Amino acid sequence: MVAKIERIRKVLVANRGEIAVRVLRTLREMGIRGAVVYSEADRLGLPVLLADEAYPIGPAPSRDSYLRAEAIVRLAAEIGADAIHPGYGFLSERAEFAGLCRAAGVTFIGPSPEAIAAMGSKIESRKLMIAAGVPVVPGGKEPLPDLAAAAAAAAAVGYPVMIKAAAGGGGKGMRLVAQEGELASAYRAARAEAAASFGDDAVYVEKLIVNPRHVEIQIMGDLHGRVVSLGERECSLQRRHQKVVEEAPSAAVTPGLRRRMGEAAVRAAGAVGYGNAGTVEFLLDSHGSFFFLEMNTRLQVEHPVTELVTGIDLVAWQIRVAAGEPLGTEFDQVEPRGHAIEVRLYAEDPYQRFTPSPGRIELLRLPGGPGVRIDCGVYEGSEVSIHYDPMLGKLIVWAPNRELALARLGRALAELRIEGIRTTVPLYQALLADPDFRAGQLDTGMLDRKLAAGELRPAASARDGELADLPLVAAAIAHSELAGRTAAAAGGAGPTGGGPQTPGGRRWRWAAAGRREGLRSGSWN
Amino acid sequence: MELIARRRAAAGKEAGPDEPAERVRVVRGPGEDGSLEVAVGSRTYRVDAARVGGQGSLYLYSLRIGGAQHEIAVSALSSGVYRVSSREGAFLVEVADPLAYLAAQSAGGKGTKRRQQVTAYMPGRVVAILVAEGEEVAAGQGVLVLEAMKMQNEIQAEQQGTVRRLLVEPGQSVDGGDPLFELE
Repeated sequence: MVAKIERIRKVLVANRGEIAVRVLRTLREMGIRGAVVYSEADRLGLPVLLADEAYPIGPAPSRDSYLRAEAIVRLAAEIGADAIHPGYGFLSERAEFAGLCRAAGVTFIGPSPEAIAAMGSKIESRKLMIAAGVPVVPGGKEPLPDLAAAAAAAAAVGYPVMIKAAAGGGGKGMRLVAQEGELASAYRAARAEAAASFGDDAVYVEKLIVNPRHVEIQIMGDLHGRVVSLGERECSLQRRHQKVVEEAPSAAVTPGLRRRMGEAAVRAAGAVGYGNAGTVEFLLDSHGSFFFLEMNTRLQVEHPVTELVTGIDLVAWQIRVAAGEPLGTEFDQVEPRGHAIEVRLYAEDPYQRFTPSPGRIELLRLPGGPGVRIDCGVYEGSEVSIHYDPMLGKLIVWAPNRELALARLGRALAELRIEGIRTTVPLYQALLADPDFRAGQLDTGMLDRKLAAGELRPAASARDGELADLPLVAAAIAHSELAGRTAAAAGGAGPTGGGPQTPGGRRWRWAAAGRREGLRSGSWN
Repeated sequence: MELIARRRAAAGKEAGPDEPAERVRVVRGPGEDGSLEVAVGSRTYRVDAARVGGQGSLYLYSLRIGGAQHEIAVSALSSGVYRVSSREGAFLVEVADPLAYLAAQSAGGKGTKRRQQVTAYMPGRVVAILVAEGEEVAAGQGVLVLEAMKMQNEIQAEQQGTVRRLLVEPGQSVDGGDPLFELE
């Protein structure tokens, strides 16, 4: 049992949604007061409702609220917060923000501004990794000022290539170019997206490793020079370079490979004097060779799968480490126990080109029971805003092995009900029936390939019989109930209130509708 | 209550055709237990329908047919159009009264100009327009760029044609369903 942190008594969470909720939970467990900032769109957000203190930080657009670095640091000082937790996204990987915190005497719960800056530029970090003996993907290292430079760089490493934002992450400002003819539009789109997402339109070109896995190593470093690997996460299931399903451990990683990747990740972190939670991302090819992709100098969306297989609360240790504590004995011998799988719940329609689906969540029923963890930032009645990332939360399951974890995921998805908006849940149900996914045969292009081929459609429902008729039966019942209500309201008779229905009330209404139908015919619509 | 109902094809280009329309009859079942008798074509079901909850335009039912229990959410999208979602999946269902259905059938099928108005499929902000009015575009060519939820999406011409009118300008915010441009 570690003693209570004395240096940190109040933390300001500079984020929103599920990650703000996640951080607040650990703060409460640690007996630390939790404060949040919120935009005008998030006054009724779950973080505000769970926090001890909540402060408005500006209008809905991120640049006017969650990206206001100076205002957030000033607020932290005003309210007497000892530290700021940045979550992921927003200001979490901005070295200037960590620097502002330092200057204001507020602890930034994350690595030093110098480590963030060194890893923040993909071009700079590649050089550092090469010097530290960490394997990297072949490619140009310099920003490409124009299309001609991009074409020359792409030709030098050979197609297919990736165009990537120098300041990027999360799949933004990133484009695959299979052949020269696609370069112009991909280059233009990547620069525009990089400028919009990161305020920096520098991009570079990299050789594409064909059908690799994305396997990343979670590391934790303290301020006394110790860095430890907490094992890998398998994140190969991605759509347009955005992760959607993550698991730990990876079916492709043997204990020997885990040790080698872990050692490389620790060297990578050591090269920048890293002291907090971080993730070193690698591409793993089919021969077991791995290549440094980038280091994310923050907590990852998918951190819960590591927490479930290691038993370590990463947010708690981020705080302890930031307060100056050395890593404890739980970091001496970290081996994954059992298997964890996370699916990200996006407000997107997976069968309409992943169109965002903002709106009101009319119904939300979350799964529970053994081995189920929900990290969710919304509740029933929440409005999903167009201003922010469409991720509502995550469903994570743990079981003693992968097969049992798949069964548990299927069970949890069957319990989950979200209505009012479209979500990616049907895609995960279809994935659970996919033989490649079940076998753990994954690569980073698999999801896009299967979707393009029209696979992963919702499980084909019965074409005839009772199940095929159910949608018609349900719609007809709702339609007649609506019609009955309208008719009753117009006639001024019968109970038409919108409150909870008692069985008796319901039946009375059905009977009334049935009797009316005996008398009516013709148009009622 | 006599109805005509059909399952609409799922949205998206690769979806199949709409299902054929069926006659559906909803009447109070025999006996006083409040159950319903629902006939779909020649198939008749005895349905114990209980309202579980739901708010606004959403109805949540527990339907028992025989012993089998199905929890089904029905959202009224527009007049006579419902989104029905169960554990097995989600469907669009159109419900109409028989006379209105026949009238609509005979009114359709007239020759219409092949002028297509393209609408925003989500709320967002127009960040760039890639063509000029009157310009010829190829199928799949980008016409404008819409940004929503931090992602930039190129809105493309679904078929070859001429961009007759641009109805938005860069920087403009649009709602889902707002017209963006006309293609002929």
